[in-house]
Amino acid sequence: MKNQKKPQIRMLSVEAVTPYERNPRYNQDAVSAVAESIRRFGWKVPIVVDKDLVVVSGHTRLMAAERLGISEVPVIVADWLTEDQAKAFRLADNRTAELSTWKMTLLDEELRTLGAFDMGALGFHTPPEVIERPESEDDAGEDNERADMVRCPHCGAWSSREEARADHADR
Amino acid sequence: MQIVEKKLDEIRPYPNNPRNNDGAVDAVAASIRAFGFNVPIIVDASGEIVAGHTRYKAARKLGLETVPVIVADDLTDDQVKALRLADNKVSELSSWDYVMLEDELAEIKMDMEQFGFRSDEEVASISCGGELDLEDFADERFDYCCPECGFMFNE
Repeated sequence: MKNQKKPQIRMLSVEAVTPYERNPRYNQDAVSAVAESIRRFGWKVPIVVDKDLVVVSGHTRLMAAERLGISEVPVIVADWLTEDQAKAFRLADNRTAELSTWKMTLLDEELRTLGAFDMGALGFHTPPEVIERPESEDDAGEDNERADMVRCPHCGAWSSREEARADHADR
Repeated sequence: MQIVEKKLDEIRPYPNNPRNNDGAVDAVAASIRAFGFNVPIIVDASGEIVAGHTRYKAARKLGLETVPVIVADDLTDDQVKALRLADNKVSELSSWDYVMLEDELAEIKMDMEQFGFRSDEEVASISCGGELDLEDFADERFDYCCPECGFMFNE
């Protein structure tokens, strides 16, 4: 493991922290859900910046802070990273998050116990009829119960078959 | 908010964490090895993980004795449950600008495959978003493209 100082959190003004100008992410669609998460739960995951206070991890959180009118944000200054490492970690941090998928049965179980919470504002699209459906051990069986809909195995969103059909599918 | 170093056996995974993350452990371990443990694990007041299950598994794999932890002891049980789900969900709401990603990857001297990046064509073929021409990937046939996240899949 890379020899590093122990990370410490500093509170910095949002103006002091600079987004990376070539961050290769479309994250506008995530800002409102991240803002809602910060509003409900408080700030839990610090923004990671490089030695020049350019964002490495947390572009969406920074945008959410600006939207919420938060003036100071918790920051970890990862000044042990070289320029190349900061570039690489910025990408790797997003990429590794994509390598996991949902366990749909367990996800529905968790969502069901959170009935009082508006999870839609946090980005969940599971329709109520799915959340309230009787328990089933078999994900595939559940999917087949809704012949008009398909469920994304990556994010768990349900959509109509027509809407989700890829344009190039020749059938 | 502060970071504390905790021994791995002072924190524990949430038993019903609804994530398949075994396939991400090697890439996360490689990231920790290369860059350090930059994003602390979030746990609740009892030491149960809220965010960072994969980092926890990676730390075990790397044989780390301690990890940086933020204790979110100001949350109710329901808030913990909701945040655990939301933390994973919000990362799905963003997507790659593949043109810019390629530019960045081209400038980086490190081996990026260890963090889960594949060749450009492979990465592009799993997404229907952006400005990609799907005809370029005619060999990869998927019936569906998720309108929410852009993931392509078959039943």
